[in-house]
Amino acid sequence: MPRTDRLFNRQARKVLRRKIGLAETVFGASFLIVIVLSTWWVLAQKDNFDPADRDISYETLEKDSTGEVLYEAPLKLWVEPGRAGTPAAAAPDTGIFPAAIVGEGWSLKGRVQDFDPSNVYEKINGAAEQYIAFGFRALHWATLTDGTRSIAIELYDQGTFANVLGIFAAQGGNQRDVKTKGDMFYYRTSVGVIGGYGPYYFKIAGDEANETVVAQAARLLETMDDLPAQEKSAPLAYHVMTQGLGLALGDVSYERENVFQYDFLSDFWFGKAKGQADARYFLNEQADEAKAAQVYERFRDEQAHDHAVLDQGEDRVVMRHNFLKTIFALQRDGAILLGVDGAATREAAEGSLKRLREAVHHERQASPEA
Amino acid sequence: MSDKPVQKPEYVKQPLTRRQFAGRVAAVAGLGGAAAYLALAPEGWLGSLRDTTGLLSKPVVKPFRLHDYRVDKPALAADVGIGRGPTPSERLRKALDAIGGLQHYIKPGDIVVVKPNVAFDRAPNLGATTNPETLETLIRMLLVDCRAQEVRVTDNPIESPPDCFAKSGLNVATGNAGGRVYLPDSNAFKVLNTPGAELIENWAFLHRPFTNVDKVIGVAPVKDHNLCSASMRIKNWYGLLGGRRNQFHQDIHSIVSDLSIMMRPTLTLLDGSNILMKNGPTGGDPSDVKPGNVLMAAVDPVAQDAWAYEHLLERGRNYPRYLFKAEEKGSGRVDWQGRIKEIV
Amino acid sequence: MNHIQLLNIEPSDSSRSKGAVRLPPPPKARKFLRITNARILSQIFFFTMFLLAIWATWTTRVGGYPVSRILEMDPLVSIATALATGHVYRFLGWGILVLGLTFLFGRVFCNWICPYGTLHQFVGWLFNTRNTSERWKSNSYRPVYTLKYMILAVLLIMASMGALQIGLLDPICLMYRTFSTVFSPAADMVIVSLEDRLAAAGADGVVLDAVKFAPGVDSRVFVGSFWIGVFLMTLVGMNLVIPRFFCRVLCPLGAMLGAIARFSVFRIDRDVHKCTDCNLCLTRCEGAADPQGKVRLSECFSCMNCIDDCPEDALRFAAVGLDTKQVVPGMSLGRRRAVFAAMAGVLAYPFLKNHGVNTDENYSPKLIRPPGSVEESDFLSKCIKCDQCIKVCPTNVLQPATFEEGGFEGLWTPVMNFNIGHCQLKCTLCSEVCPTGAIRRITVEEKLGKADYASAGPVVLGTAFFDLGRCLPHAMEIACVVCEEVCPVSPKAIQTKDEEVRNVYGEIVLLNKPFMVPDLCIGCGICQVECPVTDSPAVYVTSVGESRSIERRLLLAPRQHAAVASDLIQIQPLKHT
Repeated sequence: MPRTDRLFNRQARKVLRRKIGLAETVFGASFLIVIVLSTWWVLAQKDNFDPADRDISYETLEKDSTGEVLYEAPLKLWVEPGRAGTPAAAAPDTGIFPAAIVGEGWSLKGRVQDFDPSNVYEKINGAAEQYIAFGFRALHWATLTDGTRSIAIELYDQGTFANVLGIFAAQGGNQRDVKTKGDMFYYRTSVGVIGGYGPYYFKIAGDEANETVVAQAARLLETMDDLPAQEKSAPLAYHVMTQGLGLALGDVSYERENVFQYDFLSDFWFGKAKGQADARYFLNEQADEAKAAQVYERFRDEQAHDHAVLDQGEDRVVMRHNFLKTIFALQRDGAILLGVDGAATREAAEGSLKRLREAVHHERQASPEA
Repeated sequence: MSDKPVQKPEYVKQPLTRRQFAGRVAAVAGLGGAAAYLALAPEGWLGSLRDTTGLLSKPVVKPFRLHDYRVDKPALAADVGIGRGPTPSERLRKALDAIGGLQHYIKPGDIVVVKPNVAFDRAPNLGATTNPETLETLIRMLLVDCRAQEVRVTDNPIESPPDCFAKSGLNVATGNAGGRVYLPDSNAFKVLNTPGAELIENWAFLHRPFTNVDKVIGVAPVKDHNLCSASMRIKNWYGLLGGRRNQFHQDIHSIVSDLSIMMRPTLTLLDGSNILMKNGPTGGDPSDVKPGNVLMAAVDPVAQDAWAYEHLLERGRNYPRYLFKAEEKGSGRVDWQGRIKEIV
Repeated sequence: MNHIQLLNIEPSDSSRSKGAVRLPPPPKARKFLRITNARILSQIFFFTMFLLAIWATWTTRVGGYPVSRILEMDPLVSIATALATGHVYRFLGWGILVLGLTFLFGRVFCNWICPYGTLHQFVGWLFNTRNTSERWKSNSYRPVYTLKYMILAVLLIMASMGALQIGLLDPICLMYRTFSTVFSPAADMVIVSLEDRLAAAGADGVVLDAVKFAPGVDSRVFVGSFWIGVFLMTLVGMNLVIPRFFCRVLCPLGAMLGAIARFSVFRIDRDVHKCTDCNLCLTRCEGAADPQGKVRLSECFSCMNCIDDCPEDALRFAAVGLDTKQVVPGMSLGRRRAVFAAMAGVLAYPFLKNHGVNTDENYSPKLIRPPGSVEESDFLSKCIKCDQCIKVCPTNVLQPATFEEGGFEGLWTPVMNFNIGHCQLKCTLCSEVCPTGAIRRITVEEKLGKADYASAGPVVLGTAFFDLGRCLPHAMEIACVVCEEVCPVSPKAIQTKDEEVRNVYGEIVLLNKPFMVPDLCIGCGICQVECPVTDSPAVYVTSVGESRSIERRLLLAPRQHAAVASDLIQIQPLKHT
C-alpha cells in the first residue's frame, strides 16, 4: 500500500523470501571482505607515484641549455619634429661626458642620467650615504651598448680631489693594484676600471668580463681627460706624497678637520714613512704666509704642552713626546706647514723632515701653479 | 522442507546437461581468454593489440622514391641546345638536335611524363603557362617519331585544375596529339622521399601519373617572379608537389634548389615563345609579354636557367641565388660557357 | 507475451497464497548478508569510488590514485577504441575484468558497478509513486528496449570507420563528464558559501577546503556545462516515466553487455514447479527481464530483487541445474531493425566527416588541443569525451568544445580557452589521466623539448598573434608589456622594439613595443590571459603552428639561432665574364 503521506520511497520494501542458502551467506560475507580490501588498496595508491615523473630536473635543463642570445635593436630616442636630419639631432646627447664615449660600434643606450644629493638614492639606494659623507655633489650615469653587451659609466662629482681620495680609500681602492696616469689614478677590475680624476670618482663597469668590454673600458679611460673640471690636477700635497716621496696610494691619507685633535687645524695630508713603524709625514697648505705663520706658532705652542723641545729655530722645531718618547718635528716653508710625527729617533725625524722639504721644493718646481 | 504443493505438475523441466554446461564454460573461457590476450599481451607479441604509449595508432607514412630518369647525352652533343625559328615545331627540332636528337633519349615503348606549366587559367599567349602549340608538337614527336607507348601530361596547379587545363589550351593540345591528362585528385598524392634535400626531404608528391614511367620531360615558359627573381625550368617542378606549398616562400631559394635534386628528368625544355617580362608569375596583361623565337632544350637545367635569365629575361649576370645552391647540390653547373649550341 | 493479462491477481500482499504454509522468516544474520545487500554494498562502494575519483582528479591530489580506472574498466571504451584505432591503449586492458564478469554472471555491471545505474536506481526508488500493479506494468518488457542495440550498432560501425562517438551516450563517460563540469563546480559553490558563513561566524572556514573539488584556485567555469547538466538531468528525470529509462532504452554499454550476457554461466532460474504466477517478482525488476516468464538474459541486470520478492523461493541465481526452457537470449532485435541500424551507422561516417568544419583546410583557430594530443583525425578516433583532462587541469583552461571549435564530431572534446586560463608550463596531468591516449602520455621533458626530445623541440599548442590596434604601447602610447614579462620560454617568444615617444600629454614615455617570434612560441596562452585588454585581447593564440599536425604548421623551418647578418640578398657574380 503506498504511503501517500511520505515524500520519498512511498512503497516500503518487504523481503518476502524465506530461504537463504549457505552459499549465498558465505558469498555475502566474503564479498564484504573483498570490498573492504579493495577500499584499502585504492586508498593506498595515494603515494604510489614518483614526483620526479611530473617535473624536470635542473641537470637536464642545464645540459640542454641553448644559451641563445637574440639581437636587440637599440632604443630609438625621441627626436623633436623639425630637428630630424640635422647633425645635432643625429648626434646623441652625452651630457657631461665627452662625445668620444660613443663610436666604434658603441652607442648610447637611453639617455644620460644626472642625479643630485636629493635624488641619488633613487639610483644607488643605500650606497648613497657613503658618497654624501665624502662631499657628493652630483652623479652622472651613462650606459653604452654595442648591441649585445653594455657598459655603464658612473661619474661621481665629489667636489675636491681629497674627497675623491677619501671615497676611493673607503671603498677599498687603495688595497688594489693602483696605477697612475698623470693625475689620474685607477685600478682595473674584471669588468672595467675604477678610479679618480680631479674632483671626479668614476666607475666603469661592463655587464660581463670579456675582451670587448675591457677594451672599451680602457678606451673610455682615455676620454676622461676631456671631462670639464675646475681643477683636474691633484693638489700639491698629493704630488709630494706620491711622487716626491714615492709613497703608495694606500699610505697617503687626508684629514679634513680636527687634525691632531686641534680645532684650528684642518686639511692635513699624511703619508706613512717608509721603514719607520709609526712615523708619518704631514703636510698642510695655508692660504698665505701670514696665516701659515700664525698656524705654525699656535701649533708649536700647543704641542709644547706635552712635548719637550729639543731644538728650535725660526720656523722650525723638534720636540720629544713626554711619555711616548717619539719625536715630533714641525717646519714652516712659505705658506706650507710640513713635518714628521711619531718618529723613533731624532736623527730619523730630521732625516724625514729633510726628505719632505726636498720633495716639496721639487714638486713646487715641477708644477709652478701650485 | 515445506508442504507446499507442486505448481504445474504437467510441466517438464529441461535442465542444463553437463555437456552443455561444460560447453558454455569452455566458450566463455575461450572468448574471455582471446579477449584477454588481445588486450593484455605485451606490445610486440604476435596478435597483441596493446599500445602503451599511444604512438602505434599514429598514421604511418611510407614514402616512396623517384627513379633517376636521366639519359647520358651523346658524346659530342652540347649540354644546352638553343633553337631559333619562326614556328614552335622548327624551334623544337633544332633545339633537340643540338643536344643529340629526341630519339637518342626516348626509346620505342617508353612511357613518358610531360610536365608543362599549367599553374593558372590564363590564355596561352599571356606567357603564364606553357605554349599549347609547343606541347602538341612535342607529344606528337614522342608518339610518332620516337614511338613512345604513352604520353602523360600532368600538373598540380595553384588555381582550379580543370579550369587551368581547359583555359590554357593544354587540355585540347594534349588530346589532339594523343596524350592523356592526369588531374590531381585527392588520392593521387603520396609522400616522396628525396635524400639530401634541405627542406623537402619528405613531401606530398603527385604520384599517380608516375607509376611505371620511363622518361620525364619538363616544358616551361620563361617568367618573371618577384620573390624568386625568375620562374623558369627548375622552379617548374613545384607543380608536382602537394601539401602546404604556401610555406615554401619562407625560404624559396633553398626550396628551388631542393627541387633540382628531387626530380632528375630526361630532358628539360624552356620555351621562349612568350616571355613574361614583368608581373610574373601570373601575368594577365598582354603588355607584360615579349614574344620570342627561341626554345631551349637541355640536359643541364642549371645552365639552361642561367642562360635564359641572362638572355631571355635580359637581367644580366645577377643570377638568382637558387642556381648557385643547385650547383652546390650537384644538379648542374651555372657556367654555361662552352656548353651551349645554338641552331638558327 | 504479456503475462500480466493472463492473470487476475489483486494488488495485495500475496504472501498469503491459498493453501500455502508460511515459513518462518530467515535468520537476521543471513538476511543481512543476503545477495541484494551485497549488491547494495557494491553499488555504494563503486559510487563512492567514482566520487573519490572525481575528487582526486585534481593537481594537488592525484598522487598515485588510478582516477581514470572506472573508465578504463569500461569495455565499450576498450572495444570501440580498439575498433577505431586498431590498438588497446595503456590501461584499457582492464575492460577484460568487466567482460569476464559479464561472461560469468551476465549484466552484473549494470546494477552492481555502474555509477550511472546506481544513480538511476536511487532516483527511481526515491521518487517512485506507483503501486504494485502499476509497477508490474512499468517493469514489463517493451519493444522500444531494442533501441539500445541499434544505437550500439550505429556507434560501433562508426567506430570501426574511425569516428568515435560512444562518449556521447556511454554511461561512465556521461557520469565523469557531468560530474567534472557540472556537479563539481556546483558543489564548490555551496562549499565556498558555507565557508564564508563559518568565517563570518568566527569559525575557521578553511576546514572545508579538503572537501572542495578544486581547492586553492579561483572558482571554475566550464563552457557549455549547462547543456551537459541538462542532458544528464533529463535522462535521470526520465526514470519517473519508465524506470531505468536510460539503462533499458539508450545505454550502448548495456546493449553490448546484454549481447554478451547470452553466453553467461550464471543466470536467474525460475522453478516452474514452485512458481504460483503471482508476478511479485516483477515488482522491482530493474531490467524488465521477464523473471516471471522466460528470463531475457540480455535484459537481466542481476539485481536479485526478484529473488527477494518471491514468496515461494522459486527464483535463484545459479549455474547448474538450470531449466533451459525458461530462458531466452532476449535481444529480439529483428532483421529489419538490424539492417536499419547498420545503414544508419554506415551513413553516419561520411555525414560527420564531410561536414567540413574540422578539416586541415578549414579548421577553427580556436581548436587548440591539450599538450600531448595526437593529430586531429587520430584524436577524434580516440577521444571519448570523458573530460577527465578538463577536471584535472589546474588553470581551468581546458573547456568542453562547443560546435564552434570542432563541429558535431568534436562536441565536448577538450579545447583550450586562453581567456580563462593558460597551459601551465611544467604540467602534464591531462596526458596522465586520459584513458584512451587521445592525449598521449608525455613527460615534462617531452613537453619542453629537452633531453631525448631536444631535436624534436617542445610541444607547441599554437601561435600567438598581436592585434596591434588594441595593444597599449602600439596604439595608445601607454607603456605595458605584461605579455613579454610572463612569456615562460627562454629566450622569450615575445621581444620588444623600444622607442621613446612624446605622448599627447607632453611627457616623454619609454614604450616597449612587443612583437612575436613564432619560432619560439609554444602557444601556452599566458600572454593572452594576462593581456589587460580582457574582452578581446591584444595578443591571442590561435591553433596554427601546432606541433602535433604537419598540415597545420605555420613555419617551413625554424630560423637560425643568434643574430647573424643575413646573406639573403647577396648575389654571387660569375668567376669570369
